[in-house]
Amino acid sequence: MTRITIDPVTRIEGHAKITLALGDDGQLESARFHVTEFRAFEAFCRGRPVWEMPSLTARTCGICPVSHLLASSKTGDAIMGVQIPPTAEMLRRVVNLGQIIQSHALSFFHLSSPDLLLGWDSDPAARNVFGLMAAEPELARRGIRLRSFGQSVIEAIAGRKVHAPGIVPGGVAHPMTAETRETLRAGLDEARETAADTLAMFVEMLGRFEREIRAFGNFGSLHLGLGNDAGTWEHYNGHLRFVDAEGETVADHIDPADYRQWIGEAARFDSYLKSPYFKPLVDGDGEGAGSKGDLLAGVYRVGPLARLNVCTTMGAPLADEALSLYRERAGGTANSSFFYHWARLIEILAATELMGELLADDAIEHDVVRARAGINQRHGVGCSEAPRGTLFHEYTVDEHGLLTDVNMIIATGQNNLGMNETIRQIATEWIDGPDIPEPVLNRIEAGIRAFDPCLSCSTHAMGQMPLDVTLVDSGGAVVARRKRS
Amino acid sequence: MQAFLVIGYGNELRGDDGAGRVVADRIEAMALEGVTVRSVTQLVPELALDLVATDRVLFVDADVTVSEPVLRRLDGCHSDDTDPGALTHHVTPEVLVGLTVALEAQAPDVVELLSLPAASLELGSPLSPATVRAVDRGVALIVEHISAARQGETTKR
Repeated sequence: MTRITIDPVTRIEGHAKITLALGDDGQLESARFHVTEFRAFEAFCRGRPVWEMPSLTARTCGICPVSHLLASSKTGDAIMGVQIPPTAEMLRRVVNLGQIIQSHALSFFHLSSPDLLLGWDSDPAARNVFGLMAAEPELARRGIRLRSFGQSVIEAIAGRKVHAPGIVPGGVAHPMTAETRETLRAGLDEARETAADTLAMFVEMLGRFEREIRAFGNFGSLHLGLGNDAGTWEHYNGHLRFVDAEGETVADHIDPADYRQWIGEAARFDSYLKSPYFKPLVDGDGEGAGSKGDLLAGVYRVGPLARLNVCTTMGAPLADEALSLYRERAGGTANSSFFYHWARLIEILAATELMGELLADDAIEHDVVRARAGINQRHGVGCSEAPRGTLFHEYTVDEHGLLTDVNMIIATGQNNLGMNETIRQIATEWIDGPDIPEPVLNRIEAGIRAFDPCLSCSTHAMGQMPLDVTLVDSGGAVVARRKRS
Repeated sequence: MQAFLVIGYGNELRGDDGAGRVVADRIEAMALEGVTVRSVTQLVPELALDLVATDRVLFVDADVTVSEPVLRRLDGCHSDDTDPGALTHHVTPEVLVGLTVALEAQAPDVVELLSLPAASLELGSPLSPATVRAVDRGVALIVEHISAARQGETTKR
């Protein structure tokens, strides 16, 4: 057997590697995505006060701290047993939309555009955000400004761009001032235009990517997202909804607090990333054989692709036009993971529209933004949609509010099985024998990037992220190695 | 009056790595005229938008290779300073300036880096005693430096 390792995978948030094992006939035998970081946040949160958890868990990630702030604060709401003031929910929604804008902009413009615009086969030395700036300076400039706008929304409401303290159990820390409201509204038009123009450009390019659409994780799976009774795109509240590969509802109106009845978490020996699965389709721990014993029977995807499959409309006119075209091209339910990029752009557009509606409502300036209470429940679950997908926090506390147990299910974990299937599919499509050219390796990495995985990158990076590919024969000897520094 | 931008960066949860941010926060608290301050976990491409709007930029970072605060000018930053491996995780001042040039065809006239000695980068918030002293010296050094630059401007007129 020949084993090929891509270590670390580049242009993702965090550290991971990919192993491809080829049989003696040179054909793909297996493909695995390994997460090599060990963070143990759940363990070291124990013993901390529940009020501290939003800012503590926000340290889980420097890219989407707002998502953890929201899920953690919602868990705190449940433990306090409070209904937060309506204005607080509006502000939380605005800040989550800002988070979706900035995170999706990072994914599309900084991480994936080099492949999409410069080409999978272009010079790897220039296939990065800087190469993009040289080739498409106006697009790069607009992408940076779009992300900057999303961050300014976070800073305005939550207090800081990263690890912001303004979202708290019970609501938010401060009301929105008229000045802040006007500043944010002033930036919306440009953000919306950038989103719409980029979306139009992406749709125009689609013809180039027929093979990638067909082979980048194009498989049937379930899709999970938050839903509401109106059927509109939901990112903050609501119930859990699973749909299948044809868009048929499999389970609906699930209280997020009951997630354990529907979602199992399997730990696999070769990755620190857990593998959540849809429980009703898998018997036991997913290690058995047969249709209900196989973990793969319970694969579901979360994030932009899944959210657009779960909703009926975006609830925003421009984004709904875009959704119609998207569904027409995807044939109804989108099952190609390549469409994560497209779904992400539609969500940015929707976020600008929905944020505009929220900021146009004078109620957003009301000064009652926080409910206060002590410990009224010993257990709580908080759930919201992070940019990468549905995020769950679950805490158990003692009578003083000190945590005795913590569980977090992050979006990237829920896509773990889907990412493995994606790299297997890409490798099967492009690899033919042990001589693997760099553009093929790049496509395998890009399959992972389509999910925009975030592997907890809150630690300050001390080094660079080269691509290290090692080819090892069945005896373990290195037969070839290529390093991209 | 020349516009100054001070960017302190590092991770406050990794001991002395956060020294640059502590310096930046203290400079910001002084509200010096014509001085804009950014205190960030790491350098990111969006900071190019701030660099375009300033005449001089001073980066402040922790450095395990120095034993005293060292202020030096970074000459020759240009659009070629775009390390192909540089991504969201690892953007250096040179790369950020290069990126600014690539985007806007302009960059600050003066680019400087203040390196502060760092002894411990382990998990934990407090700065080591040596870095606390270095932070005090770093703040004083920046204030003097800005003052000297201002006096130079006056003399030129």
